[in-house]
Amino acid sequence: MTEENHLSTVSDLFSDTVAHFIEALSEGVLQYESKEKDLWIRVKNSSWAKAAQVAKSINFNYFCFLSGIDWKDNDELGSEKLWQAPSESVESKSSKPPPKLVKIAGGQSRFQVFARLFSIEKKLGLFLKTDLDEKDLVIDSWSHIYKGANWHERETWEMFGFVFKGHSDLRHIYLPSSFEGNPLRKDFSLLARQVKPWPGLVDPEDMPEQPEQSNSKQSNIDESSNNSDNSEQS
Amino acid sequence: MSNPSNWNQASYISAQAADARINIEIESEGTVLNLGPQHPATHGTLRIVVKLEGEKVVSADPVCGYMHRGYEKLTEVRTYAQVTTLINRIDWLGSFANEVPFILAAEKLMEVEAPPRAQWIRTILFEMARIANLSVFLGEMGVQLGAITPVFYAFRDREFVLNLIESATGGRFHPNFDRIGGLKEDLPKGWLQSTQQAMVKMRHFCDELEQMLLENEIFQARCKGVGVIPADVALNYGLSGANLRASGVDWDIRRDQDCALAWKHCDWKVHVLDEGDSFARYKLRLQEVRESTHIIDQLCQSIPSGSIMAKVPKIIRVPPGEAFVNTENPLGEMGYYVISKGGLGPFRTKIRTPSFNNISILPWLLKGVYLPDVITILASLYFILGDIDR
Repeated sequence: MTEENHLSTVSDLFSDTVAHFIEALSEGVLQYESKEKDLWIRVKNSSWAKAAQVAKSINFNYFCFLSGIDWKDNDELGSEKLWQAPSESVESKSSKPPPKLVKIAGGQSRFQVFARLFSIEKKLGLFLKTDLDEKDLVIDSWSHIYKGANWHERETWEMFGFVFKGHSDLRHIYLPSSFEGNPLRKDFSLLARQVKPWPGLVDPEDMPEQPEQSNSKQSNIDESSNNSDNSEQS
Repeated sequence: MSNPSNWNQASYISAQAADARINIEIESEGTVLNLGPQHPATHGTLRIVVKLEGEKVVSADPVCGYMHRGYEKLTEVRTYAQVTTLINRIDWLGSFANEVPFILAAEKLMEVEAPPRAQWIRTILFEMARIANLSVFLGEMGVQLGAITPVFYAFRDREFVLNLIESATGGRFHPNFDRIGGLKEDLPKGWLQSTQQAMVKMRHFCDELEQMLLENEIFQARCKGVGVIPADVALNYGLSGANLRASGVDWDIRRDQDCALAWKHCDWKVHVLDEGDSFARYKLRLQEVRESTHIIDQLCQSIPSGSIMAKVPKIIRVPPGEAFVNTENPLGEMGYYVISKGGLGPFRTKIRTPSFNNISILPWLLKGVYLPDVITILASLYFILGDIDR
């Protein structure tokens, strides 16, 4: 972890905040980084609840949101991976320094919990992140520290399957209570995409130039979107 | 009462009344009332399970999800340009305001900034979305209290703004006008003049509502001191926007956060009220609509000329990284946490919507209030279901 700490940079705006966190959590602070008026801190799983208490004690009293991230690249899924970077473009940009912001204060494990707090007085934002072990998706609840976390934790539990220890009311918020699975995990396939590829991928850019080509392309789109319509027209 | 038949009647009535009282007492041990899912005070389909004792609320449990569309998952299978079509539908009364923070987040990752003219137009349309959104609230709040007229005034005068949005963008409700690096098109000819004329009409609308509703005795009696939210509770639950400012917290993202929009070039004021009750929330939003018309006036006069599109590649790939951009939307703080892996679409988008936090306070706020006040409180918190359920 010491290597990562060396990489961490923080602006003067946040030097007090970071000092507070290191004093209170010591080993619990793994990594931190600031950009403009926001600070990212990655803490140890075990210090998650304490980090919230520290943040609240130094006036980060506005609760913005809490959610999760699944960092898995879902290679098994058949859908088009729009988020994926093309392999050649990475090579061509190799002369530039590699982007530092990939996984800003990011972790090693597949799952992360992250939350944003805000200090109205200082007008500064704070992101807290922590890694979750894939085999043991349990984390302390914030609901007794920030009341607003209650619903956000219910949502995160529903969408990612993280269990918030100490949450009094962990039940479904959006989905029916009989729903199985965790929709925002990357291995939860989007059924609509399995049935039909995304028609929005067809690029209509060069249609107007050559009328013949554009006709054929148009009919392609029609076929894929609505077969019955097309047959009526022809 | 000396007539014996009257005596009989009176004793009969009193016996009936005693029976009825017993019935009420038995019932009042736990009346569960389902408010919604289709109550007009909910702007969509939200169900609130209210447990009553007499007319007093013992506990309230909002049940959302009737309109959950899974936008966070859908953004993962769309390109950046296609995402704006989706997120237009989050807060459908002020659609343009939904697009801006997402586009700004993508621009932040790309390190692109829209040219000044585009920033000005974005801000004008953003404030128009606020007026269109809040004018519905200003009228609707009257309906919840039994005053029908204001809502007709609101829908009539909102047309002035919606027509302008339509003539500039092509869409009345869902403009889908914002692009990474700028805007789809420039403004039509004569638009700025007609905008300034419309703003005069909107100010007149605010005056009308102020006389009709805000100074109305019944309205004041129903709203003053009802649903009081102290500032520390509001912050703890993450309330934002007018709900927070009505509780005395002086925080407006338009003023306090530096982003590539034109508010910093205008002279305007953030209104704050200390009462924290339903009346304060209504009054504050009325003042905000007025303030918005002044902002638009100033922007129309100071709008710079030039290009409306920065130089961006035709096929947009956003470099890897994470960015969070929030803006002061009509309903409160809206933010997008965009994580990119360098592809055509975002890897993950966390959408922070104001209404979700704003109504999470309901179980706390509704405890102990009387049933008729529930409606006032719901209406004054002002949420839109698309904004809760995403």
